[in-house]
Amino acid sequence: MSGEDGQRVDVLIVGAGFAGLGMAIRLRRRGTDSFVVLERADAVGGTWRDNRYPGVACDVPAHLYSYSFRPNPEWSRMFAPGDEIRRYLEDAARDEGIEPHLRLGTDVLDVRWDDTGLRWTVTTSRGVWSAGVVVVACGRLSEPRIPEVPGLEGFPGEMFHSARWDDRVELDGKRVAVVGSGASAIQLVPELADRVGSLLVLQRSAPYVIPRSDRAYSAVERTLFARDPDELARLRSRLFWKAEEAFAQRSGSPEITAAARAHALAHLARQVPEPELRALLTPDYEIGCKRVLISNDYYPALRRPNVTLEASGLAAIEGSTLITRNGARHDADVVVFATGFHSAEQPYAPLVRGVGGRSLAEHWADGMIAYASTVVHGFPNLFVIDGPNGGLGHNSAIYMIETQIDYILGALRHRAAAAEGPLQVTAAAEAGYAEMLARLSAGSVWLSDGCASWYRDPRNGRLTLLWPDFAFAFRERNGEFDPGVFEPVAPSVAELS
Amino acid sequence: MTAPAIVLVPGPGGASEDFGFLAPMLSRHHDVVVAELGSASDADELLDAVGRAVASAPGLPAVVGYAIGGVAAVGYAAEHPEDVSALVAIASWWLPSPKLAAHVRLWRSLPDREQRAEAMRLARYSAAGWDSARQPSVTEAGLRLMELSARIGTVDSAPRVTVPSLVIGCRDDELVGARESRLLFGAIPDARYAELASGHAVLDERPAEVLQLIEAFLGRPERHPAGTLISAEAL
Ligand SMILES: Cc1cc2nc3c(=O)[nH]c(=O)nc-3n(C[C@H](O)[C@H](O)[C@H](O)COP(=O)(O)OP(=O)(O)OC[C@H]3O[C@@H](n4cnc5c(N)ncnc54)[C@H](O)[C@@H]3O)c2cc1C
Repeated sequence: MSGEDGQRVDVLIVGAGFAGLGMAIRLRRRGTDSFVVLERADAVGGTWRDNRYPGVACDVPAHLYSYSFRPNPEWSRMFAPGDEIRRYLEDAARDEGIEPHLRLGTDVLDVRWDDTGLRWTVTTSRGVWSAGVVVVACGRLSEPRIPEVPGLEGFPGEMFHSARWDDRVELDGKRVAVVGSGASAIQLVPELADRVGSLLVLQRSAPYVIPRSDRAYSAVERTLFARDPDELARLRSRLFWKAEEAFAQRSGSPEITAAARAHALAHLARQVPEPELRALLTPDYEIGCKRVLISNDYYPALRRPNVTLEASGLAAIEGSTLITRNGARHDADVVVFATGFHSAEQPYAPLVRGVGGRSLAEHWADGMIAYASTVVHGFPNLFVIDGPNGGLGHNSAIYMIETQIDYILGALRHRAAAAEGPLQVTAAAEAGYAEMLARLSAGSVWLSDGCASWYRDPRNGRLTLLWPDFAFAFRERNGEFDPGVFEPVAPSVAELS
Repeated sequence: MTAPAIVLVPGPGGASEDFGFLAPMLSRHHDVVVAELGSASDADELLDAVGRAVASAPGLPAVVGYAIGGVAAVGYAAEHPEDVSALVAIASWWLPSPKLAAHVRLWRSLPDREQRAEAMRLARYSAAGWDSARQPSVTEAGLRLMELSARIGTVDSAPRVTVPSLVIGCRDDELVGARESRLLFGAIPDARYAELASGHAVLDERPAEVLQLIEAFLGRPERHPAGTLISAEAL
């Protein structure tokens, strides 16, 4: 424990990714100084610090996938490489004066509401904090998921998750297996295909893939962006509203969905002439159910003679042999798990205990829910960014995160002005929000027959990760703090439980 | 549904060309009826077409019109204030611009269907929105509606509209001219105005932004008082 034991702070932010840093920057720009950002890793960046696999890049245009309040004329490409995004976040933390507030290498272990002190006690690997307000910005895709298969432990070769890329492992000329065919695999596979000896791709379910309109921004364009900020703002606006159009593929219009499906299948047909391979790559569910992926070089990579696609999941490992569910056996020297993240049950949920000692995990035993996707009944003065129903399949996460930051700033302003005691959302408001979400998602592709995706909670089939509407509708509904749905924290509640 | 029903009034391209995005997306929260302008040949026939759609919509609908459909919607709202709850006029005008009339004459004079479609496409889309440009289908009925467009406006009707109104203009509208849309805004007493970075074909160039403006307006018309210039969302 460090000398920070027992320190008091007004706002305590957990996590230094896009969400936590964005929150910190907005607080700092308001002139607030009583806040800290606790981050368990040794650097800022979250997703973009952890994901360093070859080919990693954003798949929403970088001019949109960045803070509105820190436009960056220097993005090198339409879809910026991951390390450029990581540097953007590092620069933001430095230039905005966040570093003095940052506590790196600080793992948050326990976040507990004090029913008498009416504050949060936050226990970390480096001391204990007392905070008036906690902002949970731990991300949604930060805990790598590795499938539990028999024999995994006994694999003699090298093995790692795509979000924990191990640069020391020699891949050139090796027999490499990539488990998974989602957003990370599709970026990774083309990069590996020409380096490795042989590449095996295990695909549980074929993704829809559409063309990727990537290109470099020329020096002239970047100069123009720097000289004329309006040019950049116009581009961002165009990109945002273009992206919004794609929501129509997910809900409400069979014609638009059919056109999107045809667009993707035409891309497949153009790039994969072989009927057998094309059949394996043809999805068996409706487009939009899972993230629609963008790539021009994934399909071509799969056609290379040294690449094998096995349309089956990993069932077991025997020595250095991978056995798929359909019984195929392949030997490998290296296994890369591009198998996504623990998302339905967030790793921070058991750590956070609210009124009466009830944990977020207990509160969410039936699936995550938060009013305005941000506040939870029984967890006063606590805000979750990028948590339940805050994700998007069709537009930038940063727009959602910034909407939530605005909401939280509104709550903090209200709290400062009203001096009423802790803000707790009512149970009725939370239930009403859940009903509204159920109405919005009815008829969407995510709840359609044959659609199983990580957006849905396997425990109840509810859509708990995704916002099932346009991004603009999220801001319309949740962009402004509304004190009317909050109530005082009754001391009796604590005694009852 | 507590949200009002919506009557959509298309331009000369017809409902399938103009409302492929708006109609299904508005239907998620509203009952939607689409008016058929068919081969209306004067202003009265346009109002009749709107009236038939309004009659088949439940409750007091909002009327949302595009181009000449917006001109018709303004006319209908002026004549029948008791039958509608709100008005949205997209890429519509106070007076038809001389350039609109010139374009329509050119289209009529081009003998070849494909040339005609290409000339229309060039006029309808902005340079920045060219990547969303589609080849318009040109029917004789559509062409007649365009000729009618060049003859009618909202000078008489707009000042008599009493329902809350939203006027959406297009900054780079070569046909209507953004100024004519702004004059329409000036003419309707309870109007607010938004201008989008688009050519006349705003329903192809910026359909989601139009949707957002309509939903925000119908959700709470009084959010922006009469006379407001609605500035673009900060994104
Ligand atoms: C490979 C990849 C590509 C993506 N591309 C896109 C894209 O193109 N467009 C898009 O919109 N979205 C994309 N996403 C989603 C992406 O996760 C979000 O856009 C965004 O980066 C999330 O930011 P965040 O701050 O909420 O979470 P994160 O970036 O995950 O940050 C959370 C931080 O919290 C820290 N933390 C967690 N628990 C604790 C604890 N107990 N104590 C202390 N610190 C803790 C973590 O170490 C991490 O630094 C992508 C995701 C991945 C994995």
